Amino acid sequence: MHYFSKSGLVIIVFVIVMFGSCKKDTNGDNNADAFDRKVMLTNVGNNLIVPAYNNFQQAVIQYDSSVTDFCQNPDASKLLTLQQKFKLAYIAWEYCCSFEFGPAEQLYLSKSVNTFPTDVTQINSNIQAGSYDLNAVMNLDAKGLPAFDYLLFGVGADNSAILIKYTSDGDAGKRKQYLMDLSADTKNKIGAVVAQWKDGYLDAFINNTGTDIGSSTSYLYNEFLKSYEGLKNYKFSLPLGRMAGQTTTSPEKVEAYYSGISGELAKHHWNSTKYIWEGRDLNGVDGAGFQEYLASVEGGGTLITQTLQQQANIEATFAALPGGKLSDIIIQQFDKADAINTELQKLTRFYKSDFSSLLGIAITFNSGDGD
Amino acid sequence: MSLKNSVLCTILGLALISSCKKEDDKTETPTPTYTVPTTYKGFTNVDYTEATVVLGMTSAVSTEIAKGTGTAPATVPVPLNASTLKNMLTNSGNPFGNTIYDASGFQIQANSIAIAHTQTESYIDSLVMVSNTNAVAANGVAGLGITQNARRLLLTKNGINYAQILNKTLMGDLIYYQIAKRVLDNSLDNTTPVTGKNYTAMEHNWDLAFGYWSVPDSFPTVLTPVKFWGSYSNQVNGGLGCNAIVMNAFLKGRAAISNKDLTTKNEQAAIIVAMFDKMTAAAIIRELKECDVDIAANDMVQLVNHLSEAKAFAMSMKNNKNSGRVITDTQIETLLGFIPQNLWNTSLTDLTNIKTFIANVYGFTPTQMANM
Repeated sequence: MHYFSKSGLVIIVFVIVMFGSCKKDTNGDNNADAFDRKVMLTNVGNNLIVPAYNNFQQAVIQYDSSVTDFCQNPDASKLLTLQQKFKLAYIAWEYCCSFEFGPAEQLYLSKSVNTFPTDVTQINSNIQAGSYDLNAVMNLDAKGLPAFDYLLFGVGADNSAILIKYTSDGDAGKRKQYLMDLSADTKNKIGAVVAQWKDGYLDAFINNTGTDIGSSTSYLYNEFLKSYEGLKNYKFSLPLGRMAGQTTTSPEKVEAYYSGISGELAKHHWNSTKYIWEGRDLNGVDGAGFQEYLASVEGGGTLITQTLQQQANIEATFAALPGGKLSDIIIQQFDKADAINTELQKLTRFYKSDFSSLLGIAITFNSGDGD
Repeated sequence: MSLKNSVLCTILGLALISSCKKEDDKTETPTPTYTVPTTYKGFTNVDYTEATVVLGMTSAVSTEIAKGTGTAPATVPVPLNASTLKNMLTNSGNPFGNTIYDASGFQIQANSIAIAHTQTESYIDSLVMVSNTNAVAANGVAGLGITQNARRLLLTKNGINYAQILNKTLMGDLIYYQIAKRVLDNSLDNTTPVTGKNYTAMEHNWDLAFGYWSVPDSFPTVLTPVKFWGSYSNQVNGGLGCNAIVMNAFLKGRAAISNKDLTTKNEQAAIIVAMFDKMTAAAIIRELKECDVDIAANDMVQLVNHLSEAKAFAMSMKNNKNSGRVITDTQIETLLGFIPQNLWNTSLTDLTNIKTFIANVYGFTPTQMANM
């Protein structure tokens, strides 16, 4: 058998090499499967991704306008408005954070917009210096939504103390400038991503219908999975002290620690990943998504049933999460937050190994070259 | 492989060649009348010990440098000694404490491209300097940097890891240089066996080139152990398909030499040299992708380390002017210009620029990039 397989391999390699030299690239889509991935990609591209980016862009534009307004003449009412716009922008972001491929990957959108926990020391050092390269890798954790979270909610114990930092404080001028610069940076980032999707990437995304690495389905699935794991690991496991090597909780590592909207944001993040799985758009209309893709393959029905059941279990734990800051809940009602982590963990295999093997889409997370 | 199977392969191959050949192409490649083995073990007169020894010496240099970081076998950082390291490059004064290496008469430096000799010595001087700082590395501070997964690295104040610069310089200016030089060499005798040996000088030369690649004889059916370029071939294979292409070229070229078919040998040599050029470009992409992982992990020490590797690959391209090199000298300067002097200050734009530039120069498609 060994003999046979060796010579067989040579023939196969030879044939592949020879065909490769004269055949046109078929986009890796050689599966004669029943599911039309183009329909799924069309739905996800047109009805989930582009609207999510547009919503976030609009929210950021409104936020930016409030930043300008606030910085011109800071007062308590403008601060409240700005904080409200910030929350809306952050919620809108949660529906964008699972699409870190193509333009978003190239422009480092996610890293630029939502690297948390934010680096307060770096932020304050930048403000003091009055000069900074917001494009530097070093400043990724000193900008974006987590930096706004600190600047608008964390620089003082309450809103009157916060307002002082933008009015009578010695660095008020520099702090306002930093806030405006960060806002412009976020606005430019999402603007550039929206422009690229409009300017050809949407078509490219819809028409790259294979399942190999580099295909739209591969990107969509892998980034969906990465986003889901990010929700579980960095928004729950890490602050809960559940990551390998942790001996204690780290409630200060939650997303949006200063504003305390972490629980609400996590719920939106959860929704956004579920919508991708379902193929459901932001208006609630259910189109072709991973669920339909799974339904097209043998064994898919069982996995769908298992997934739906576990999704419901997760929703129940979210519903049972008390109001208030997630960082406080982790300290005071640990089990309530931990229950979400536990249920999210149980869903992992249905999104990851079972899903990946049923549909034959490789998990491509980069684990480093180790040298 | 049995005769039956080799005939089958040949027929299949010819059928396919003819199916994609233009009608008016009358240039006929002579039909090979010899069998190309499927593994390097298929050749019975191979000895690439010299390459293995030189690569072993290169690993020994890395191990010696690691002592400066406190990485095992050291338990605490030991200030490095320039003479010790430079003697290892030139194999002077039994520097390895390994009788095979010390008595081999081989050396890293003599086998490296001449222009790299002073460069590699200056990298060692930088490493020695950093190892004596006794400081923790930071932006503007030379010293010991520790990554999030506890790797220990000697970084200059600009975040440059000269251990990586040296290592990747040797991948280009020792290993690739040796491979290209040897496979392209048509000056050697290919009729009489070398005295006391069962191979000709040309066969042996080709075998040494293969040995420098550092892959198993049955690569890529067997994927381990691999080192240096063997490791990187694997890493970028998804995008380039280089494992099989280079291996097949080595096998076919070697069979051609033994059968006095210089035309085929030269064709295969060109394939190997061109693919190593692409692999070097792809290795830079690979390092840049590692940088993205480092960004996600918020690991600046690892990021400057990976950028040091990318920089060294780019610098090695500058030294290595083989025929068929795609990137021009001017383009290499542009590429190096995208890598900031101070790696700690690297911007997102710098990273995007490097990737985009390489992709454009080498014509890598988005799918290839995704698979590297």
